[in-house]
Amino acid sequence: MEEKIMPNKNDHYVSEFQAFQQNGASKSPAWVNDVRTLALSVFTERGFPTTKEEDWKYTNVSAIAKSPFTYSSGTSGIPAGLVESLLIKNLDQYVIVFINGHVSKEHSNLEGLADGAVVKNLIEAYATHTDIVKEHLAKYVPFNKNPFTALNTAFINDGAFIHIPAHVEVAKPIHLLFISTQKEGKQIASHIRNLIVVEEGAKVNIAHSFHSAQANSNLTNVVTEVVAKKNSTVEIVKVQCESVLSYHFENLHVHQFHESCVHVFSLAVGGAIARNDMSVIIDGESTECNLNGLYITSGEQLIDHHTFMHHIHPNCPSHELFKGILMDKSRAVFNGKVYVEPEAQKTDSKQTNRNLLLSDDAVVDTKPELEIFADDVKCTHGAAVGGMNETHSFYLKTRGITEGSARGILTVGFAAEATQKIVHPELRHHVDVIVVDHLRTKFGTANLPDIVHA
Amino acid sequence: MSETIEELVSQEYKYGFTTDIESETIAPGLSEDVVRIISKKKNEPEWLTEWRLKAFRMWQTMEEPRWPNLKYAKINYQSISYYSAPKQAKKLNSLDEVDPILLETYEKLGISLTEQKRLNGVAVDAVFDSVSVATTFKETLKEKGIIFCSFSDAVKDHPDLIKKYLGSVVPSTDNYFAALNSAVFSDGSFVFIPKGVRCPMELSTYFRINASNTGQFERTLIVAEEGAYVSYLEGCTAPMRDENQLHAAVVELVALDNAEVKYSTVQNWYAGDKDGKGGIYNFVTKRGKCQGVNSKISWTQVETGSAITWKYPSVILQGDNSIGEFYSVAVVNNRQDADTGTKMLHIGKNTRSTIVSKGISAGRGNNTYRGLVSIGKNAVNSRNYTQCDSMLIGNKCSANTFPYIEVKNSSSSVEHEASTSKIGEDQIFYCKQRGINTENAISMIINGFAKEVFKNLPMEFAVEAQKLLGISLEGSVG
Amino acid sequence: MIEIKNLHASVNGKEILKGINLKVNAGEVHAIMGPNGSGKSTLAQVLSGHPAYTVTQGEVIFEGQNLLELEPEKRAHAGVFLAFQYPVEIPGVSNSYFLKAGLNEIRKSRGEEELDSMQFLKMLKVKMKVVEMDPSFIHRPVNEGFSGGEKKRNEILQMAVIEPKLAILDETDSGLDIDALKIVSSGVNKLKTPQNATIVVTHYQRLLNYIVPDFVHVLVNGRIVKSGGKELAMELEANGYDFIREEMLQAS
Repeated sequence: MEEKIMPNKNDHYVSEFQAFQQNGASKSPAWVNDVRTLALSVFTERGFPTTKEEDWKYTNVSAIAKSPFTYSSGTSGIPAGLVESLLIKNLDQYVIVFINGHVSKEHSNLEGLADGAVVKNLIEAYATHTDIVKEHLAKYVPFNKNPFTALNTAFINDGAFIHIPAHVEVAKPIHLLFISTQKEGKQIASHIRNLIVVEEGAKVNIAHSFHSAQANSNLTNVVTEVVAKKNSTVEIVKVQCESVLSYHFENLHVHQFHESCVHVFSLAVGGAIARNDMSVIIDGESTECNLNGLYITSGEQLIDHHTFMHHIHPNCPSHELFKGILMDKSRAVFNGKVYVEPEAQKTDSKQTNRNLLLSDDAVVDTKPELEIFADDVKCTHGAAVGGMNETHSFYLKTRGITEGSARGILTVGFAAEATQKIVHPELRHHVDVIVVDHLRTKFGTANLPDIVHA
Repeated sequence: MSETIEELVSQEYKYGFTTDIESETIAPGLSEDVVRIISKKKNEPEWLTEWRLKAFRMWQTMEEPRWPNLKYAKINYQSISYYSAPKQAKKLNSLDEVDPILLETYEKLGISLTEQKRLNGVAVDAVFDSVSVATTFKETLKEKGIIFCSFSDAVKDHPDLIKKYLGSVVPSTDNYFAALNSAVFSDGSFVFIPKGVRCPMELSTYFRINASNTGQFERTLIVAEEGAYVSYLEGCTAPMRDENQLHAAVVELVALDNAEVKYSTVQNWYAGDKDGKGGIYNFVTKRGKCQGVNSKISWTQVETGSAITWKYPSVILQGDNSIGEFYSVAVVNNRQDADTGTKMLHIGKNTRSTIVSKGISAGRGNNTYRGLVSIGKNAVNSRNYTQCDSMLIGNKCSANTFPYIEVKNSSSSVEHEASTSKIGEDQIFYCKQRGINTENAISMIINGFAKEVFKNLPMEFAVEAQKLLGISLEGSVG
Repeated sequence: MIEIKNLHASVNGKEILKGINLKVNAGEVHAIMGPNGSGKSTLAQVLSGHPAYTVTQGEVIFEGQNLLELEPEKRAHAGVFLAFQYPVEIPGVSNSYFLKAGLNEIRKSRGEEELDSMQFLKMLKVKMKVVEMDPSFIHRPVNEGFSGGEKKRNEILQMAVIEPKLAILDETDSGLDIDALKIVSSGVNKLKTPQNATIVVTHYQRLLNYIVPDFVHVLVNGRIVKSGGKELAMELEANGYDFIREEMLQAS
């Protein structure tokens, strides 16, 4: 029987909420405060999820429920040179930095943004872009379904706001860089809220990075709402490299309109427990959606991906490829759902989840789901779990490659099939470098050659 | 094309007649007393009465599962009669003593209980409402040491075997419906194949619900000792009635070292009319245990009937090198809901499982594949291959796939593939250009779709299943 | 045998055939040639009754019957056979089962006895020799996993089994290598009798070296713009379709 942790522990978040309000959050517009209060009541009533809930069957968050995470007001210091080391190498980029969820203007660089494109922190946008924020914020992601989203919504404060006006093509990628750092020895909770609105015919590439300044055990709880209007093109590349002691949750939601094209890629290597909920509502005809990801787990990490592809309109292709590499005693969860409404004829949906188990102590739980109500559709899904392909490994060995190198090369190859889905070449290279560097720490540098970049 | 299909649908369920026979039926309602009455009517030993009562007490504390993707009216367990048996004066010594009305009923269903008329190679146990009315070829089988009899007879004649194996695969408190069955089961079949014996004929049970307002709760137990082999067939029909009837059966299979059990079902309970009125609620727990090394259990099912189907024939792969298979065709039409699939629990080393599921949804039917493949830590070098294909006919129906895959070692591999398709206009046109009319083209395409499963059925059954598929879908293709 | 008069047909509201006139007698081989998109395949599909096409004008009389009134399978029963450009795959349904079902429907419609499996297989084996097909194909699912050439051979096998009065070969040469092309054409030639007729739809003259036509028609933009003997095909091969277009321009 599982311990019922809530509701008394929620008192912690009630008092946190009061402190949060007193610390200036109450100065936000009244409608924001209303949403917060409502979301808090949803959270306190519901509490953290337990493994008895189907959506959390394989992901036990009781460690999080038990930890008294503290809301940190104001920014905190970070080591010198950290931001520079986390930028995307050899790439001209706009960057906005958040430390423990608060914007750090001194580290940001948004110079040269033109044509009315806006990248700023949400708090500022409340005043400068009231109408847009009000129209979209908290309008897409329901907070009564996921307790972490409820908690995030209760603590909505800062985060990134991006608005790309109609037909504007942003030439350089926009880098949203989130750094989590220790403060006064406490476990800090950052409830980051991002809103990205891409108007008709606009184009933008966004890097979405999460890092820890040190081996801290903070909680990063993010909700990102993305609106892709008619005929827009959006690529989001998420890199989550937080400390393996920390907890990371993001509910990334994309709302797509007619003929829009969205690419989302997620790399997850950090967190003691990390979970990505990624949902796409296909709310227009002839849209295209590509949702891809790679997770690499080691030690006792648990990384969970839940995807939801909701086809409402006809003639929309959607593709999902999620790959996982598991080592040591780690666990990975994948739950992908494709839902095709009766009107969504000619849907062409493909979902694939492949897992490479490199240890007998690692565990994978995968559940690719299809719910289909339209008859003229092509929907396939596949899931595979297995160890190293010994035939491939043998082939490499006959060519003189050592056992260790063979495993390393094949693992990088396995990962590359996912990272190849990233469209923007520099962002793809950036992710490839992180993947190889990360795998090197596990396989040993000698066993992993430099990546060959096509 | 849709009109043709509409016309086709209107064909009536041909097994929907009722038999007018005097029955002994106890009053509706469920309590410890009722459980005792059932046990007493069957002259059961005390341990079995207690076993039932334990299940009943547990059942009272359990909740009906809410997770299936099924919509049905709440079942009032107190309004059901838990025991109904055709009145028979005394214990039967031979088939000649079976009430001619019953024999006639089975003739009408195409099941001859007269041994001379049966095809060689199939022995039948006929279960009418709650009790077994006749078992054929008993003597022939006895010569080989095979036991094939009604469950009630087995309790009397082979108490040690029953005590040893009853509940050994599906514990009496396994789930809500299994607990209910354990408390009130009335009869069913028992099969025992001794060591080294290959059963020379197909064994078959034919289930028939006749009485109204009764539930049917039969229990089947099949044990194959070391090196034994048996192929078992199950068929079922029920009259057309406006109210829903509950069927909650339990099937347990045990395969010891090197044994093989093949279990095939053609389920054709009354499915209700096109508006969803009436039909059987079919909540069945079927599970096999590959207890011994190199043992094999395969389930093949063709599910075309029932208003509601809740059924997951599973295999516990305990013995090293054991093999589990599940082949399924599930068809829903009109207002039918089916939530069916399998569980393959890999425990032993080098265990293998194969799942092939073909779902066909038509009308306003709702078809769900739900499956679990679990590879335990010690199940090294295990393999699973799963293929789930769905076909939708019209867009008022749905096809859902919920596979759970849990893998806990790195030397095993699991592969799951699923697809959804429709009957292509091009396929139909191609057939028509070769002179085949629309109905035949559709029937041909659907049978082709389900072929991988049919080829696992015994010949006689496969032919019946193919016809059944045609009938079930009549009028559905638009 | 068949007379097509002022046939207009469209797909999704777009007119593809703009008044085709063609008469084919028993014993004749007609080739229909034309550039891509001229409506050649549409004509073949319309004659066999593909539901995607709407006939907006004109008539087709086949053996005294109004062909356009008939369902596709009735046209097949009447003796019209289409060898598909892209033969369709039907998973799980064996070639022999498929063919037997079609043939027996056709026989029934002619008032002939249906063939039982033994008779059918015996006949099938003979016919398979005509297209030099491996006997294993009998049991494989219809066209599933077949190579392009195998599919086309399978079409001619079906034609051999069904023995139609009018065979329409839609781009049967596309995707065939030279050996397969020879086999397929020799199959078609062996099946030719004074009682049946063949319409060969093709883009290239190549096939016509093997299946020699009595008449060649050039289809451009939904109309037959030029007809002639087999030498017309050679002319097209030498000069391309442009010379026709130029002729047309000059004429107008």
